[in-house]
Amino acid sequence: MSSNLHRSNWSIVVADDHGPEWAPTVQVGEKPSPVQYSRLGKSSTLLQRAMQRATRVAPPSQIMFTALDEYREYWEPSVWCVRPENRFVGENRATSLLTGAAALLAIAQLSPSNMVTILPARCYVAQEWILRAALERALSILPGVREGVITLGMVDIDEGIDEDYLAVNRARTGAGFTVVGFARRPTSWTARLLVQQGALIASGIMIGYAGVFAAHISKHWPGLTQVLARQSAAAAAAGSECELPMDLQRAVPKLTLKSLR
Amino acid sequence: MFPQRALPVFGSGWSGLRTQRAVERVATYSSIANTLVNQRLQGSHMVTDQG
Repeated sequence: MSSNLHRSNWSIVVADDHGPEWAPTVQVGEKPSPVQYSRLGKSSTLLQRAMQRATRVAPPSQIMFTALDEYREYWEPSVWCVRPENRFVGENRATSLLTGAAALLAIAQLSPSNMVTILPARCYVAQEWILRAALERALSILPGVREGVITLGMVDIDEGIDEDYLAVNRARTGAGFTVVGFARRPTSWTARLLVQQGALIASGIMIGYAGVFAAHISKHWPGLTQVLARQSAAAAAAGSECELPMDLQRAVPKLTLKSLR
Repeated sequence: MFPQRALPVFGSGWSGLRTQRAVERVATYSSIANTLVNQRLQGSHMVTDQG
């Protein structure tokens, strides 16, 4: 794929989304760490694997990264190749959704037609080549998808555990399925029923046009776009990391803040 | 509903690791897989020694 990397392809590796914090160690001498920075039996951490995925869909200069400042010791050695102005660092969990939005808005400001692949660092993939093929396919069919954004829905023989699910119908036009519902961590019997009815496990991986993401942010979080754009523009001008301080919440309209929780 | 389009991906062995329970299951699988690999390596080493 690297030879086909297009100048309009961007990727955001998300390492600050919520989840379990500490992963158990599986090898002698391994230190416990937050799950996205753990190895889970392999030679590289989940973050490093997500970064490798990102380099297959976007040039290194067009990879962005979101993380929490408190875990800097874990992520900093793995993101040396990411430009400082492409790093969006939150001071606490309340800003974790804002870091991703700030990264998307920064890409959309360069060109709304830029294609963005959002990759959560906190996920485990046993067959990397299958996911790689799926990402390539998603990027290739995106121009023909009316909605302008695609997510990946996972299907496996093994039952998922504590996952979110996408209820889907066959799409009238184009590839893939139409999403008609979202179930957040249903009980295991509900999950089995959903799967029997064709539901897919929600991966959190999204591939879409920057302009579509930006429009979605502006529509659902009014008032946020200008605040975040100012932050990322200042960081880009200084060539420094875009840090989202705790008091940023004060600049966000109350209704918007409520919808983030 | 956002996004509105989903592309199915079959058999990647994917886990979102959304809870501690999910992380522990994946870690157990990984540990078992490592043990099997180590056993195979040890086995091949023994064959080499004898050979």
